[in-house]
Amino acid sequence: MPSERALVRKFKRGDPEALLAIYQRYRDYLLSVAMALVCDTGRTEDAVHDVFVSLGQKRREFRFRGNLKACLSVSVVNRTRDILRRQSVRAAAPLDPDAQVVSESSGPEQIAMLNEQCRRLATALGQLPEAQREVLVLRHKCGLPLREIAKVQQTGISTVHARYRYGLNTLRALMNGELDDETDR
Amino acid sequence: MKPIDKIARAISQFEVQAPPRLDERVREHVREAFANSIPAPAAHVRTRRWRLLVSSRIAQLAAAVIMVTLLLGLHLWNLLGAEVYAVEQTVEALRKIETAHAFCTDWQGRKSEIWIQPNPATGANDFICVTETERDYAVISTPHVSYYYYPGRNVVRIVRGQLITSDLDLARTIESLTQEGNRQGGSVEIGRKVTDRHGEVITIHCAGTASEFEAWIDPRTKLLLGIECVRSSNPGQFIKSWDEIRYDEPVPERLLHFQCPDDAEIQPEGWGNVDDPNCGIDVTGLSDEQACREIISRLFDAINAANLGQMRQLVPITNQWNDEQLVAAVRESVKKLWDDQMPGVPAYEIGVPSQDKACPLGVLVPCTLTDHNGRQFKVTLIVRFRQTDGRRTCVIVSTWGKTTPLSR
Repeated sequence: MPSERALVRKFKRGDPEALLAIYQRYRDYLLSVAMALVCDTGRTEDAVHDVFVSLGQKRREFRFRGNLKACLSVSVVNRTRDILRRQSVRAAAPLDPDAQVVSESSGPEQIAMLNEQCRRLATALGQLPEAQREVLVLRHKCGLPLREIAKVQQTGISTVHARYRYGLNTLRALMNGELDDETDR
Repeated sequence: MKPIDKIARAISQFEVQAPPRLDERVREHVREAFANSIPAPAAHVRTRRWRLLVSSRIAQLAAAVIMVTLLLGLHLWNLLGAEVYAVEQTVEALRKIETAHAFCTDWQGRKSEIWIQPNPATGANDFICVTETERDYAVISTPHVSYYYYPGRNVVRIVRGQLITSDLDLARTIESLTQEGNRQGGSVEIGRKVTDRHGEVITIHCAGTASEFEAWIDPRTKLLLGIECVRSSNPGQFIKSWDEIRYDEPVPERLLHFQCPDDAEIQPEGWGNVDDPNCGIDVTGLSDEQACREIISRLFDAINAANLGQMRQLVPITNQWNDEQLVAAVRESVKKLWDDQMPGVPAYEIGVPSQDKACPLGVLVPCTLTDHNGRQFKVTLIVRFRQTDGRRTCVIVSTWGKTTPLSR
């Protein structure tokens, strides 16, 4: 399997297959990031689609630094934010019942249970203010440190800390102990 | 495991599988993008590059402060760094909106819905639709033709030209509000607060002598969330608050291309005939002030002489009434002034015309009327100047605001 750097080099030289290989590698992960932010299958797909098409259009301007996965995550978050801004998708948008939500866990019973858990989590995330939701997803789904999240959100580290804390507490209250019960089983 | 850790783990395990349709779509469009990749940057990319040049946060803030100071006429001591940057982005974002769908409340607490489609070149409102279910009407206004539609009565009034259905030029909202605050010698302040409806917002508070507004900006999207008019003595300010604004929703086809229902009763024009070439007087060669004096004195003379034809000539709106209705309307107006003691306008003084942004229909001319007992009242008339077949003409549109008694 070619390395990330090799794929990026080929992509910047004008090979669309290299970009498509990057897409294949990260598409599920990026869709999950977008889904956690917008809770809507169509807009989630639009966000990921637009990021890759935009990369194809502006490959000469693309600067690859550090972790490609994190870089793509931030692009998806920014694109999702644009979509929310343009379409005024407000919090608590209903989760599309056709969304194919699956879990990494094994075993059909566990999958069924965690599917439901994912749905509940997505619905609860949808009720958070966008900024708090973004911090939680960037922190726990993308693994970005809070300092990096502050850069993405163009705000101070203390604001990000506050958003993180409020977000977690609100999410905990919204989930009303559901996560505690199920994950402990 | 702590509950917080469980939430963190649940988020990290949140997974969605890509459907095959997305793969096909991305493959097709990525290949197209490579094939059609643009060699030279487009205009908006050049703008973004300028922004990238201003890459440090301090430099960005400085640029935003300069821009906001110049554009909105604010003083530097009114400005906070991050909020100013947000306001600058709001100004820019509002100029790019394609449509706005707003939910509003008027001063009587009635709810209405407004659709606005600004003209991307001029920023003026190309299409406005106001619907108010409580009062059973919709006003659909475009630069060329407008409709009052009463669905319950199935009546449509068609009007030539654009109606004044929104006192908000949405694409220039922030500039308009702050200019209003600055013009009235008041204050404009930018800040931040938490609201019940929108959570944490950036606020622009504009307080002048005649009105006071507060606009709320979403700190995340930088879009305008709503506006509240705290107080206003501006006549024609019918909306108290813009409670929610949604952007770039497509305007429903039935509104955008409104067609009168087949069985609807069509009524004659009302306001729109202010541009009727058969009405008005020729004022070529006269200054605005001379023209206003001329047409207003002719109107008062017509009222005194009960000359209905002349009134119709000078005030196009009166053409929608028959003789009986017009006489009743004049009597009603005069009765309000003189307690029905004496008809007519025995004495009057015509003031200097002035422009008011809140009244795009024409210039405002204050007049002082005196009755037989020496009591005085202030009435403001709207005079509209037009070009009719190459001549400069004017008409009286209507009164503006309330008639107010003057203390002696």
